[in-house]
Amino acid sequence: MGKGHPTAARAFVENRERAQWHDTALWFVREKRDKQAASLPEWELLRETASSIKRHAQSQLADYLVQFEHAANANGAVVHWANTTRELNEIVTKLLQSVGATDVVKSKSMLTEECHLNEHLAKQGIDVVDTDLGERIVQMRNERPSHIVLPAIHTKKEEVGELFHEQLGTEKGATDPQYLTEAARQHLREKFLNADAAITGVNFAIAETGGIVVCTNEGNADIGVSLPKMHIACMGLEKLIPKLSDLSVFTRLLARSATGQSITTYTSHFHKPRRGGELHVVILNNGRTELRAEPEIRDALHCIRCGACMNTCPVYRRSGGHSYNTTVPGPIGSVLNPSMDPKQHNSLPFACSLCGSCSDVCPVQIPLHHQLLTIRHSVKEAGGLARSKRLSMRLASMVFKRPWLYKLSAGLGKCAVRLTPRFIKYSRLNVWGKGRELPPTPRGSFRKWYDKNGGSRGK
Amino acid sequence: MVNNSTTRDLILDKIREVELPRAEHPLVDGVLAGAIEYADTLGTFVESAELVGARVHFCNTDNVVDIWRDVCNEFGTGKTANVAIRGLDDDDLTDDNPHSASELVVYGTSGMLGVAENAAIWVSDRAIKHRVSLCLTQHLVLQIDAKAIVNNMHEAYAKLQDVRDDYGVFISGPSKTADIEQSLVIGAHGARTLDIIVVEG
Amino acid sequence: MSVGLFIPCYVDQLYPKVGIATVRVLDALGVEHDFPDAQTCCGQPMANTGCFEDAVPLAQRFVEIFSQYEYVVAPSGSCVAMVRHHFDQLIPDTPGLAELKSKTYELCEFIHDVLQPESLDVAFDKQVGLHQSCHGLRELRLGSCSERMSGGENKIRNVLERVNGIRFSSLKRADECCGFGGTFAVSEDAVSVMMGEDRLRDHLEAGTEVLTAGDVSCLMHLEGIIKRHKHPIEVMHVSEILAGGA
Repeated sequence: MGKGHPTAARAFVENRERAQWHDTALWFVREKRDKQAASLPEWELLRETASSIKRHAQSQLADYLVQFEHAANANGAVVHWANTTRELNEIVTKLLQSVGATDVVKSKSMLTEECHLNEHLAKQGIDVVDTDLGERIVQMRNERPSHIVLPAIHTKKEEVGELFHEQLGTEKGATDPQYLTEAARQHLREKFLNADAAITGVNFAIAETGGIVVCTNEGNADIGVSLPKMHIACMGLEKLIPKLSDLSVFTRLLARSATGQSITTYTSHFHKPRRGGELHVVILNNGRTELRAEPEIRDALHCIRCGACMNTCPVYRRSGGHSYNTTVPGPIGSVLNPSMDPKQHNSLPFACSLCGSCSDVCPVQIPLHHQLLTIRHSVKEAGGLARSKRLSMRLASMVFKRPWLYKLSAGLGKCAVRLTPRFIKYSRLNVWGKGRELPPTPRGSFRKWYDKNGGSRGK
Repeated sequence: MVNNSTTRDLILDKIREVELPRAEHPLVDGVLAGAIEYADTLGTFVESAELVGARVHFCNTDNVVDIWRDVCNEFGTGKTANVAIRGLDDDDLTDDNPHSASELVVYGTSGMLGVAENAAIWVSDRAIKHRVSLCLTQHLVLQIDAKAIVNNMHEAYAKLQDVRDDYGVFISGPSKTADIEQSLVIGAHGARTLDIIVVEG
Repeated sequence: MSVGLFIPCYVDQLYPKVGIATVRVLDALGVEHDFPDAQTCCGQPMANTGCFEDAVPLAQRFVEIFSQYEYVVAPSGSCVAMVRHHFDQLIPDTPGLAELKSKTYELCEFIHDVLQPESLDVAFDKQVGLHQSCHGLRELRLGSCSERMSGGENKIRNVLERVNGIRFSSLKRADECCGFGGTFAVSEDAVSVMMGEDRLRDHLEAGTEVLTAGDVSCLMHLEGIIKRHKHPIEVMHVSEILAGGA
C-alpha cells in the first residue's frame, strides 16, 4: 500500500497560496465549461444520448471491434491486439524497429502513459518526444502529467521560463507565455521534421468505417503523423463507437467539457495511411474486460477522457493530480485504479467528500460518486481498509443496533469530552481538532426532550 | 512476441463471456431531435469563427484572387501554395517529399462545409498534395461556399455520411494552446493564423 | 397524517435544538408527529466507509421502525438520501423498502412538496448565507445544481423565502462542497479544512451574518472552523430559521 493520497494532499495544502492558485486555475476551466453547456438548450439531452451510445457500444463490444478491424484492414491500416501493457510496448517496439526508427514524436496519449511506453522505448534506444506543449513541459521536467488534458496545470509560468532557459536557451527570467510558446514551436518543429515515426492516442474509433479520430488544439498530432512514414495509434478497447454519425454527439461534448471550447482546433479523422505510409492501430485491454464484467463499475468504460471531473472536483483542485500517484487521477482515476488494484490504491476512493459534482459534469453521465462508494466496499473486501477503521465501524454498528447502548455511550462520551481539559482534547491525536473546534456536547438529547415535551403519540 | 491472433481471440472471448444487458442505440439515422438551429446560420458561423481567432472575408468567385493576394502580401514574401480554391488556379506543392511543406508561409485550399456552432471547416486530403501542408504552413487560408454552412455537427456528419476521405479534419480557427498557466496563445504548432474566404452566390 | 420523525444520531445527541426546531415548525403547520424511540442511526457512516455489512442491520431496523408512518421526515438531506438512494444496494428486495422510499422526505422538501403552506408567519432580519448541502442538492435534487442545465427551483430556498424579510447572500461559488464528507473530514483533514475555509471566505466576502444549510453535518464542520477563527458568522440550521430564529 502506497503512502496514500492524504499524505500527499497534506503537503500540497501546506503551501496554501499555491494550492489556492491551483484551485482557482481549475475552477476557471470549470466555469468555462458551464458557459458552453448553458449555451446549448439540448445539453442534458446530449449527455444522455452520449451515455446511451456508449452503453449500446459496450453491450456489443466484440462485434464492433471485429467490424472495426475489418473496415480498418480494408482501408489499408493494420490492427494489432495487446492484452497487457507489456504486449503493447513490445508491439510498438517491433513496429518502430521495422522501419529503423530511433526518433519518435508522440501526441497526447494517456494510454501510452498507462503503459510507460516512453521508458520502455528509451531502453530500446528509441527516443520519444512528447509534442503536446503541456506534455513536453512535464517531459522536460522529468515528471508525470498531473491532469489528463492540461498536463502542466501545476506549473507556473516562471517555472516554465526557467525550464526553457535551461534547456532551450530562452532569455533568463522570461515568463511571457507567447514568447515561451514560440520557443517551444521552433524546438518541436525541428523534432517533427526529423522524426522517423509518430505515435498518437485515439479519442474515438469508428466501427462502421474503420477510422480513428484524434482531437488536438495545437495541431501536433497532424504534423507528427503526416511527415514520417509510420503512424502508430494506440487505443483502449473501450474507445469504440458504432457509427460515424455518433461523432456528432461526442465532438459537441468533448471540448466543451474539457476546456470550455466549442470544439478543438483540429478534429482529425484518419481512415487510410498517407501515400507511401503505414497506419497501425494497437488495441489494448489491460483489465478493461474485467472492469466490463462489474455491473456497478462498467459504466466507467464510457469515459471519453475529457477531464471535467477533475476540474470540478474540490479535492483534486486542492491536492493536485500527482497526489493520486496514478496515470489518470481525479474522480475517474479513483474509480479505475482501485478497481484494478484495490490494495495499491486503497486511499483513492476515500479522497472524496461524495459531493457528486463529478457525476453531474460527466458528459457521458458516469455515476462516479456512486461508483466511488461501491469501490470503498471493494477496497474493504480486498483488505485495503485499516483494521482500526473496520473495527470502529463494527463497534459502531453494534452500538447502534441497541438503543440503550447507544444512549449510554453517547451520554458517557459527551460527559468525557466535557470533562477533558482543552490541552488534552486538542492534542495532536485529535485530527478533527487540527483545524476546527469540536462540536458542542450538550447535556440531554433530543429524544429526552421529545419524551417530556414533544408528545409521543402511540409508540 | 505473443501471436497476435491468439491475443485477439483471447480478448474477444473475454468480452463475449460477459453478456451485458440489452441496450439500444438511441439515435435514428443519426439524427438528434432538438439540436440547435440558428436564425442566422451564416452570421453565427462568423461569430464563432471570430471567437476562435479566425478572420472571415466575404466575396464572389471573381474576387477570391484579390483576397488571396492580400493575405499573401500581408505575410511577406515566401513560399505560397494553393489548391481547389474557387476562382484561383491551382498551384500546389510538387515535390513528393512532404517535408517540402515546411517552407510554406501561406497555404490555401477549400473546405467542403462549415459548421456555425463552432466554426469548424471540413477539409480533406482529396485534392491536396501533402496532408501536412494544412498544419506545417505558417498561415492557412480556407475557402468555403456560403451555402455550405450548416448549423451543427449533426448536420455536418449527415453530409459526410457517404464521404470516405482517406484523411479529413475539422479545422476550427488557428492552432492554439493554453498550457502555460492557462494563458491562451494563438499559434502553437499548426498554422498561426486562419483566414476564411466565404464565397457567396 | 402521521409523520414519523427521523432525527439523525448526531442531531439527537449534539444538536438537539435542531430537532426541537423541527418539531416547532411541524407543530406550527399543524402536523401530527411521533418520534419512535427505537431509532438510532440509518447506517450512513458505515456504508460510506465501505463497511456495507455493518450498515445492513441498521438499514433493516430503520425499515422496520418507520414503515408504520404515512410520512417520514428528517432535518437532514444526507440521511434521507441514504434511505432513498442507497438502501437498495444494502438491503435489496426488502419488503416495505420501496414504499418507505417514496414517503421519506427532507424537512424543506416535505414542506414544499406535501404541506405547501401559504405562508409561514415568521420573520428573520439577518442576512442569510444558504449553503447547499451536496446530498440534498445532487442526490435528492432539492434544487438545480450549477453543473446541470436542467433548471428547476431550489426547494430549500423557496421555503426560506416565505420567511418575512429574509435576505440571501450572493456567493461566488453557489454550490461547492463544504468539505465535511463524513469520515473524509478526518481522513483527509487538510483538504477538508481548506474546503471549509474557502466556503467561509466566500460567505464573509458576501456579507453573510447567519450561515444555514439543510444538513447539520455541513454546519458542524463549518461552525468548527468559524469558532476556531472567531469569524463573525452565526450558524443555524434551516429548521431554526423556519421556527422563528429563536
